[in-house]
Amino acid sequence: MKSLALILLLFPALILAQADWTRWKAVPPSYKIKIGQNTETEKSDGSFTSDVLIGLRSVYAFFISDLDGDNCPFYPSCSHFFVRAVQATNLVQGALMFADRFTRDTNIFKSSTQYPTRLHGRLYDPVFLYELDESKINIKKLLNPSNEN
Amino acid sequence: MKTKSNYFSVVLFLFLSLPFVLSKGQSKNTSPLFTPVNIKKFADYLFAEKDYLRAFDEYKKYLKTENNDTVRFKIALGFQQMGRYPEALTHFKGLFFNSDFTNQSRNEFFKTLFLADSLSYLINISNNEFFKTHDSLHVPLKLSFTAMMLQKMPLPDSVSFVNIFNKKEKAGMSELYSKQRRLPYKDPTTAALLSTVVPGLGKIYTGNYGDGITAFLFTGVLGYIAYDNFRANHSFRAWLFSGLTVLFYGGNIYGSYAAAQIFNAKVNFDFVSEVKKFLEKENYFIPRYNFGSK
Amino acid sequence: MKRTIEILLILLALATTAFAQGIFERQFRYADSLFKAGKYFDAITEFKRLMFFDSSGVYKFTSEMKIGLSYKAGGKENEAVKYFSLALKSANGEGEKFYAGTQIIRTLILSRKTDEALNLITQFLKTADDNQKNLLLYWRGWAFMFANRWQQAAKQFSELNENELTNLCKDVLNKKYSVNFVKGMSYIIPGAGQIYTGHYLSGLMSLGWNVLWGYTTVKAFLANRVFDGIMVGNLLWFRFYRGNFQNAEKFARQKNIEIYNDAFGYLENKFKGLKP
Repeated sequence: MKSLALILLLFPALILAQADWTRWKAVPPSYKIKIGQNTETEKSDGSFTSDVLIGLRSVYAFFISDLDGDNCPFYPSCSHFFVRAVQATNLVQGALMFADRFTRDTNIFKSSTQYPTRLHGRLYDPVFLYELDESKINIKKLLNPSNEN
Repeated sequence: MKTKSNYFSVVLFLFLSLPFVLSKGQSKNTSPLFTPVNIKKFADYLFAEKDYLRAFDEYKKYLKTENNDTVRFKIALGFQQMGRYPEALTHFKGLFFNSDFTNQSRNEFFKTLFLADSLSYLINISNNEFFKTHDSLHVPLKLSFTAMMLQKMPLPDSVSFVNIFNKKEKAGMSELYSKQRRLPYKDPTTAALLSTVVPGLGKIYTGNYGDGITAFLFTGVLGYIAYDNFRANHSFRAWLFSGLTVLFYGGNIYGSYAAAQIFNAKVNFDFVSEVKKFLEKENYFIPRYNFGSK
Repeated sequence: MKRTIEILLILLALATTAFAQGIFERQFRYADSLFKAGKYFDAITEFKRLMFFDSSGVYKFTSEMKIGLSYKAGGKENEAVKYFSLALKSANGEGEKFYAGTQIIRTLILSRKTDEALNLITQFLKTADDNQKNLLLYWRGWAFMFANRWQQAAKQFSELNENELTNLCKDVLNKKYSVNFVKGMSYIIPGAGQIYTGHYLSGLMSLGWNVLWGYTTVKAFLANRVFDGIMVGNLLWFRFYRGNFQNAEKFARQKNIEIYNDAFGYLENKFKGLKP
């Protein structure tokens, strides 16, 4: 039968049984189109600086970055990167990290060796690479950012 | 003759009614499909299909009535295959003593530690009597040497280092070892110093040419604007742009240091991947199993 | 005596076969009871056990279908399609083949593998009888809906006299925004497309920025400050102008997805007819 040959061609390498490596239950069918939630928003870490920055960032987003188009090719975008950098380190180090990020953003030649992964359609450039802490530079996580929101 | 024919009818009757007697009022556990032998057969099939969770369920049923170390060993192997390393380790440990798999379970224990990236722990326990194997394969030692290499620890003198490996393993290992000593790292401090002298030079050093040139132009232009405004006595603008120049100059030095670190992390990652590929090919120095129907 | 033994042996063979059949039938009923109780993971185990021991292959097709349906119920469409395909391979007669084939098609529709579903429908249409044809065309309509090809879906359903579905598709077509039209509006009047799609604040702010930077740019050129004019026009006006129509397009697409999802919600919860 022709259709059979077609089907077998379509599904040659389905990974067998991996779907059963956790016990699963019935799920009701869902017809709706799933919208990829891009939750870039930072949570407050309780510090004053971080709260002020989060506030300033949303003002900037409301008045400017939500209106001037998709300019940042990175995930997280530069303004989010700044907030996260300050949260991860301190205001001075965060500012330096931001300046470096901004310079890299301005460089129009972005190689895929430097930014090997895409997240939400943008180049994944996480903060943990730039904290100057070797133990945090996790290439595995850079290549598989599945847990990153 | 008569008695004989009677006897025959009785046998026939019993024989024909047998299926009905058996099939009436039976719970599922007495079905011949659920005898220990058949449960194990089915479980072995599921295991071979990598349908581990279902295989485990069957093996556990089997182990309720039978005692079989092969089955216990396969359960542990299944956990290892599924990437559930803590459970695999526990199950392998359970076979360390008084089992048919004392050596094999220890070998797999070390392989699992390697897969779970618990290299320091692996090195620590490799000489511990509790974990030692008593065969000529020396799997724990070999894996511990490999782990030490990855951890950049000083290796034992070269003789004892290579003596436990066979010829083929030796060739692969010494190639990796010499490669590791020539890994093309970039020095973060050098990168930062270079960028201190000429903005962007550190990034050129780490191979990020575009970033380097951009940083150079950026700092240059900002600095020029600041200088120009000082000359024109626009003091506010002058100080603003001076501040920005300092920020981007500093940011680039910082970024050069970071870029070198990231570069090195990538070099390490590639090397680790290569070592793991080698280990995968050598099956972590463990001979392949053939369980048959044991 | 010899004859007696022969008869006995034949009877023995017959009895064991009957006995074995009984066992497999019982195993099938057990597996099916798990399936009916919605214990799909365990049902799969028992159907696999049945297939493993039943060397005659009597239960092969049904078991594979049931395993496929179990995976489908668990939302594991790839595995479901795989087992339906195996069932198609072990199907006996056109009826079973068609049943397995349509299940593959329905699962492909659900996982939005539209091209594969449409290809398969075309394949089956070649040999289908009239009833089968109607069913296949019905699934083609569903495949179009799941691919957001509402125009084609409406046409397909109206040909099949499926009024409820035809109206649903037409309703979507009426409600949905033309992305290019919305974008075009914002090309002409910044913010217009955003306002049209209900994003009033965003539209007004876009308009504001464009007026401000447009005015500054023009003023600079009029005062012969060409450098300022180019800088402001390029870095600010153009930036916000581009952001303006990018937003218009984004909002139109978002709104459309909301409209599609309303329709899918209806199909999921309220529609009573045959569903994939």
